[in-house]
Amino acid sequence: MAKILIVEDEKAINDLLKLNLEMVGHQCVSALTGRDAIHAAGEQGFDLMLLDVMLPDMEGFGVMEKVRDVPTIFLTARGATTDKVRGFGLGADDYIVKPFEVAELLARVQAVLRRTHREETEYSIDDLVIRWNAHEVFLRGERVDLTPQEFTLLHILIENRNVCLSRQKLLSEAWGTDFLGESRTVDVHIQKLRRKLDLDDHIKTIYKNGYRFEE
Amino acid sequence: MKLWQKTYLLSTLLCALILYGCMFGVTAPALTATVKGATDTALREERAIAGALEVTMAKAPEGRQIPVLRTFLDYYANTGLTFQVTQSAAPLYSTLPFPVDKAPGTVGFLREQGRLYLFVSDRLPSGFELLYMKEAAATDALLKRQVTAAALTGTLVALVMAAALYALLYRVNLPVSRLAHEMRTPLTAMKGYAETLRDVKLSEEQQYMAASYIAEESTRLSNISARLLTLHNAREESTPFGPVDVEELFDHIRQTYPTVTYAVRWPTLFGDRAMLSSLLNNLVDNAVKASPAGAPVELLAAPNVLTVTDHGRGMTDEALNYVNHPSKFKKLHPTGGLGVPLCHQIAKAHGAKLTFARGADGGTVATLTFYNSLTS
Repeated sequence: MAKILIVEDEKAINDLLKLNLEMVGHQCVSALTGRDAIHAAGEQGFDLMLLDVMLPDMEGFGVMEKVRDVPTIFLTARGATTDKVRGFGLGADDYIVKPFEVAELLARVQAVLRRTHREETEYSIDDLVIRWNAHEVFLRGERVDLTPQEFTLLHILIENRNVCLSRQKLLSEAWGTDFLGESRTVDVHIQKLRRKLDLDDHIKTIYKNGYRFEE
Repeated sequence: MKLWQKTYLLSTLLCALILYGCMFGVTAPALTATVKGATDTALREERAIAGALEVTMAKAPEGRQIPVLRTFLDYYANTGLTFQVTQSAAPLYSTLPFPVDKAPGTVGFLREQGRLYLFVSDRLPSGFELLYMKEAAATDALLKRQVTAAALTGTLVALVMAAALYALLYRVNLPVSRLAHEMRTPLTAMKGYAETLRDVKLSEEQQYMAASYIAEESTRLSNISARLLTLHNAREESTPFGPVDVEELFDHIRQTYPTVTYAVRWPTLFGDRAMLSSLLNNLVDNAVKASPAGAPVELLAAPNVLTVTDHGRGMTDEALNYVNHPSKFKKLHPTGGLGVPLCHQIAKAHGAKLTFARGADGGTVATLTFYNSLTS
């Protein structure tokens, strides 16, 4: 679970980001102006900052110059190359142009957290404990053996907890875009995960859509 | 680079090429005439000298022809004319400043050490080859003047044309890019909340919030669309003007904004009711948002002037500068949106000018002054 500062002056979008990031287990603080963001970053530490370029009181670049030690993803309606270059020049970790897909945003947030080593190292629910770095899974204190593919699939489901992922999305994320398998492959692996880890109540099948890990 | 900027660059380049082509076409006859005039003069002069030289040499005693030739040509030493005489390529006489080798029967220019010379090479009936040469400084200066004038005129016209074209394309395209920007925010929110409703396990309260945002943002999008239509009408000036009842207009606005109070001392004006209503709605909406809850917003119609006065927090100098001259700003002002440029467009379509100023109590006064005879 990471602590994320959302700097976006449009309340609708700020709330949207907060809702989705909190759903996957992050803790969020919202700022509607650049000044609020600098103030919040001065008071508490953050693992990541989502930063809009066009803020009412100052440009996002100005905020980034003041808040230097927090990994940053720029969020903006402008897709101009010069803006991207400027953002990356200041040390931005990624750049997302509006309108964006929520799933894409979550994936990019995870990627930046992984790159900056700020992702969670352990996850537990009911009697299940997972140590991500050691690739170890314990159910009721006993170690359970998972194949690398099952482990990756579990990781993706939990990273996107409470969010439904389509079979196609799971295939491309867990098996890679080059994999030519059928979506049936996903169903088989999900069945195995449910059985091995006693996750029937948590890995839900969403009608006509895919699977969702629910806490 | 945006598409319209690429189109602009391409059309400017093409126009500049055509323009320079035309300038060349216009200047070429003048340049040819200058060259021909100088060459004809030189040819006539050379013919006269060559004829006289022939006669003089024919009269010379046998064996004295060369000394007579030298004496004859030395006469021209201080006239700026120089000569070279050869016989079967063997040099006999030369006052040229540098060696020149030109076949007999040729006329032309040559440039040496930055100076332009005009030469005529001729074979005399007596068998001598005579090369006549003189510096063509006047012709050189004239040619340079003609080329420079053509290039300067071409560049000046190209610059004026490029600036006018840029201003036109900028005007046409700027509101479109602003609109595109303005539309992205509601689109992002609507798409995001729809995806969230579909994919994420939300509580009832969260579902309500997501659906409310979608409804709210779609209203915002439809407002943008309505504004776009009004903007189109304002620009095209396609709507016929008619008498507008100011009292009815103000009363309609008060129904939406109950804190509005109004006074009408100018009962009828000529214009487009829908556009004027949109303009006043925009101004009143901004005024109400800037005012404390329940504070009055005053509408006044005096002859040729409409004002909207609020007693709110007022605007910073920067914001005032933006609302008075939105077209000077490349970027959309974070608080401005499309509303202010639209108000200016509507005012312009009515032959009126919209200005914003700070009121006596720190609030804002928006004044719409009608200059056009369309108003009464």
